[in-house]
Amino acid sequence: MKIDKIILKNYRQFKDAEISFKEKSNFDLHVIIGKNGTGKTNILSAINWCLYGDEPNLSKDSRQLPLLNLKSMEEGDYGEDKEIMVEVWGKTLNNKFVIFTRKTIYNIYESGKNLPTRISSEFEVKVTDNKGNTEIFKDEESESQVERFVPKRIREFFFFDGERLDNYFKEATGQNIRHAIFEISQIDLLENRVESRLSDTLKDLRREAGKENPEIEDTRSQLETNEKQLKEFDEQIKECNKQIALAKDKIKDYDEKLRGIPDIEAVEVRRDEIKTLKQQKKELLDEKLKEKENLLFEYGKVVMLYSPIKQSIKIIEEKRKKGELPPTQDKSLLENMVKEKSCLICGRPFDADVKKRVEDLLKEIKLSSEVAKQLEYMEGPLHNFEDKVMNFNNIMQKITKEVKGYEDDLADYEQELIKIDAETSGYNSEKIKDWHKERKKFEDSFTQNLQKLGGIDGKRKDILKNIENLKGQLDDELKKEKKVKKLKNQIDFCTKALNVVKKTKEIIMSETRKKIEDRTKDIFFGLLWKKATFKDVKIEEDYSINLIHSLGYECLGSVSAGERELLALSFTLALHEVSGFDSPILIDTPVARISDEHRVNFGKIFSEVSSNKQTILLFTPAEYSKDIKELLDVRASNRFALKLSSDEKETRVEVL
Amino acid sequence: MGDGKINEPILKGIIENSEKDEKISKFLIDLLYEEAEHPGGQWRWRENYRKKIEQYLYNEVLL
Repeated sequence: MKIDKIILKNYRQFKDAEISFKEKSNFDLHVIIGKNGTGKTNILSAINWCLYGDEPNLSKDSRQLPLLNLKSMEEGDYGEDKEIMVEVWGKTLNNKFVIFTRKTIYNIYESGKNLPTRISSEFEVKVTDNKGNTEIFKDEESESQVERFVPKRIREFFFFDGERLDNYFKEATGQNIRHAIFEISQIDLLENRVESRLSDTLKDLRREAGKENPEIEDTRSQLETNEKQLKEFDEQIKECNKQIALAKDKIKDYDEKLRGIPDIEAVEVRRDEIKTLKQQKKELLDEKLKEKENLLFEYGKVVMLYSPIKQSIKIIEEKRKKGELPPTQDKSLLENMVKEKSCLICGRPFDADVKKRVEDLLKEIKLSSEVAKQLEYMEGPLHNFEDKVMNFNNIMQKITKEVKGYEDDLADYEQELIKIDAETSGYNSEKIKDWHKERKKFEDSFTQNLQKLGGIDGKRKDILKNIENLKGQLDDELKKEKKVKKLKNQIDFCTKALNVVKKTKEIIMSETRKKIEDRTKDIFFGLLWKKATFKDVKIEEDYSINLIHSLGYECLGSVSAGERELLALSFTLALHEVSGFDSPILIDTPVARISDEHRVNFGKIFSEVSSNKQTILLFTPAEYSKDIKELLDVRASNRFALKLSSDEKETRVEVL
Repeated sequence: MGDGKINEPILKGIIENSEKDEKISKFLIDLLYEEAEHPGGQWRWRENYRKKIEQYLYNEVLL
């Protein structure tokens, strides 16, 4: 359906306005330019209000303003009823004309002071076919007509706010995207209507056949139980996949939030660890220092005397070298011999000459022998002291090394603590811990559901096998029973039809996903200004969208707002194109977040799209830059400017 | 959806997967249009499905 025109009466800034979207060129492109506050977004809101009775795009502030035009309120008399009306005129591909009309009556209490009160509302849809026959639908029927032309569930794919495109992939989970693809591609119609109802019809037919024969009934009943079980498994699988997709999305969200932020909990655990280690090392260090002190006290004197000890040992060694040690003669023996005047060894008496020689010898050895004896006596203890000093050196070196090690460790711990403090300062620790906890929760959910999925899958395969066997058995039993021949034919027909639906659905699902993926990629890379940065666009099995960096990693979370907006727009356009869904595309502030130099790319794609799809763009004058203007002015079928009256209570629509 | 229109890929898919069984393909296309005509899903589908099975099965609808 295309929008032919919109008529607005007393709706917000629009007291009385009509905007026609008749195609006048090869481009079904319509441009509306208005400053902020002139009611641009209210055009999008008016369409939503008319078709669905709500205004999801309005800001909180705007929503608080009365729906009734302020000027109309002022002009109204006390107690007077005023009607707000929005009409959306549409035309379908098979030349049906549809007029959606929503009216609300408000009563004015006191002009300009109190807010008006809503008295009544009505919604009507008028459909005129190509032969001129008109049908009017009201109440539930009218809502059903809206669903037929512009389903509410997927309106965000044809009427949307460009500024929110940046958030598109944050808000649209894989499940939502899957839902949109299913709705727009009509897989939903195939699956939830035709397949489901054919399946129920088949059950009805089998039940009827069962009434004719108890054997058939028994097999049918078993088959139905197994099919019910299969359905339950399928539901569980669906739920698991939903939880997995949700967990994946959430993990991605938290990863994005936590990018560059330390894992506070892990850091705090490490901080506590370091503090404990630091305490332990400090105790060991103190112990070693005490040991060192004791050692110094114990060996202090020996160490201080080490030099004289060494010198004494040297003297002894020199004396030994000279042969002075040990002494060669026994001094007391010689003294006794002089006294006895005879040799005490052989008994020969001394003559004067011998006596003199012995006395001379005695004089000679008297002192050195004493010293030598003393020295000999000292030698052992001196060596002991020397060994002790050497041992002291070894122990001291070992202790010093250990002390140094502990001191180094303590310095490292201190450095790490300073680093942790620097890393964590300025962060809201509690919030970050909560994020990590939440992320962990979704990680656990992801793993649990993946495991659960594996378990269900095995059981599902067994049930499928049972179902096939029971189907064969039922078929044989139906063949034997002549009374159910007619029913058997219907069962066979229904089964065949059901299989065709299932097969078609599977193929369409896979092809559609692939086509949307390919087309999104084409549009995205066709528009992209940084062509070398990205490598691929992927729509995964769970319908989540991923942008692949040229280095191979998923980077949707880290790309710029403009690039994300570009991808969202590419995906939306691909969805429209691949599905062949007959609807307009209306974007409020389409390039608000796109830098000037890239706006022209958007302008090009809108022109291209409008060659086979009605495209309505609502720009601010700043957005409608020179480049865009040059590109779109010549192509647009219609251009309008929104002008706010001097009292700011009414907007006029001027054709440019 | 979109004025009771059925997307081309679905129609093609039904025809191809019916493997030249026109009774089946036309029956399914008929059901699809019928469902698309009732976007709210509220219609007497149970008896209509049964009726259509008989009609297409016994050639009561011109193929």
